Amino acid sequence: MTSLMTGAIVNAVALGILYGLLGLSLTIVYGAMRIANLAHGEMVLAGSYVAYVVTTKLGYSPVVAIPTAFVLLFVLALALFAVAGRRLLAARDPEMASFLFFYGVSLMVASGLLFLFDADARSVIFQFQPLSYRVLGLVIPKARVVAVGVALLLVPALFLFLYRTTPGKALRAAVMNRDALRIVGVDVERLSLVAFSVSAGIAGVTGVLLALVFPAFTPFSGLDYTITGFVVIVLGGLGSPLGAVLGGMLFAFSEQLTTLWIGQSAGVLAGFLILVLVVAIRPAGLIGQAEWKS
Amino acid sequence: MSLQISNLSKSYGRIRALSDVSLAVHPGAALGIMGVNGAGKSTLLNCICGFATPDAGAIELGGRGLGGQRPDLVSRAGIGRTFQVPRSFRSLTVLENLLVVPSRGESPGVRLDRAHHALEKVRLATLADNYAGELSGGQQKLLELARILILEPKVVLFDEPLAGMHSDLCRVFLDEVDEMLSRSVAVMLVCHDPGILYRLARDIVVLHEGRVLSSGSPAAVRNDPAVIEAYLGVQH
Repeated sequence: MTSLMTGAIVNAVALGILYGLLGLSLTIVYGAMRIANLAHGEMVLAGSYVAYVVTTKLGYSPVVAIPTAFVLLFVLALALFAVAGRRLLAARDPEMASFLFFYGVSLMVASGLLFLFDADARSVIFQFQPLSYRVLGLVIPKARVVAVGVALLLVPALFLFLYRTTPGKALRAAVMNRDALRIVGVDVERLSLVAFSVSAGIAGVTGVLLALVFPAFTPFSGLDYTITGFVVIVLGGLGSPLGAVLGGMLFAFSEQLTTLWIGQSAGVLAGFLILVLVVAIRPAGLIGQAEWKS
Repeated sequence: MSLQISNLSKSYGRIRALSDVSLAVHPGAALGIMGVNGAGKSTLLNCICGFATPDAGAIELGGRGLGGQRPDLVSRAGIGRTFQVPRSFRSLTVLENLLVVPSRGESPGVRLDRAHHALEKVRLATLADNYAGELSGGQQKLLELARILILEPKVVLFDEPLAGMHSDLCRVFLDEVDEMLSRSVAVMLVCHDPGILYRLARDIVVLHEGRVLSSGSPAAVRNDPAVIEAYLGVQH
């Protein structure tokens, strides 16, 4: 195997786990609430800007940005849910209502970031010691190792939450049948509040991690993350946590390997071609039939 | 604790699904609800459980008003319900289906014991680790019954509980209903099958086009000319 190929695979694994995390946070909220959060990418982006402020402006380690982004986005999501969450859930068509509402939110967040940070691309400036590791002849930046390491801790933690705790099981049950959950006494609105806030918090952390891997971002980068997130969860199967991780991996591998074999622009195209193929062959996604099964 | 429905009305657009319906379910007794399709049976259950908001009338449990409350609050007030098409959490295990029921302050160990006990009562203990989606339709109805047992409600609303169920499973269900009645649980039984209602119900209410057509003992309802006409038509 050439070093280029090894490098592409390493990159694909790193990106795949981050895309998986992105999809996981999006699928939690879509699955539990049937809410299409079009502002999810902006929440991720807000996490990147938290990393920018914490590192570049305040001079702290990016590791400090991780809990900061989680708490900030969690609290902001609580406020957003208090303003609109219950009304969206009570709407006759929650998917369409949330689609329009969160499109507005995404525009507002992007405009707010533009106002605060201008349109120039920003980067997180930090220095890990050592700067990089050399493995199998490949130079792997430590920032990428940290990002993947944190994601590798977060993904199993989320799976433990969803599959081993009662609130997590209730979230999965909400995907399957909200009415049956309500009739046994579960406050589905409160559950939705937890899902939405946790999802936003994870989106913020994902933003910090992505800022370590892709150091340049602008106030308009959110839409790319939203699109990637939706592609990943549709690939894996809507509402399926495991599907989100598999979808993230598939998307990243197709992107990275096509970039290696054909070129950068073809890499993005390949991801969407895979999406079209998967949806054509398995409309429910890779594991859509077995959604939320452990 | 009694469930009292007074002058309940509900319309969907121009369709009057319920019109001035009054009835009562008492502890230790089963009230049967009969009616052809479109009679208003499901709307009645949905209004009681909070899935639909009544336009007029009152729903009281032990004298406390329930009308318009959310389903989870109705459940916590003491009303349990099963559905005509069982609504299990198909990708959770049979045991997990019971464990998502909110805790009432008991320890995890006690909850687990109660869940296992409920599964034993409905003969599903050996399937505890299977996914609910793998159960037959009848077994899924028994799983709903186990959820009811976990909730220990004061009033239980059964919606076509025996439809499509194997006779062996029917017996399990009927035994549990008998036991509930002996524990002074009030039971409302919506059923197409008059035979089941005549066996279980102390009183029967017949709904027709959203109104109470007839009510009383099974014998009285069975011989009511209005009921005979609604079910069999008039012989000319």
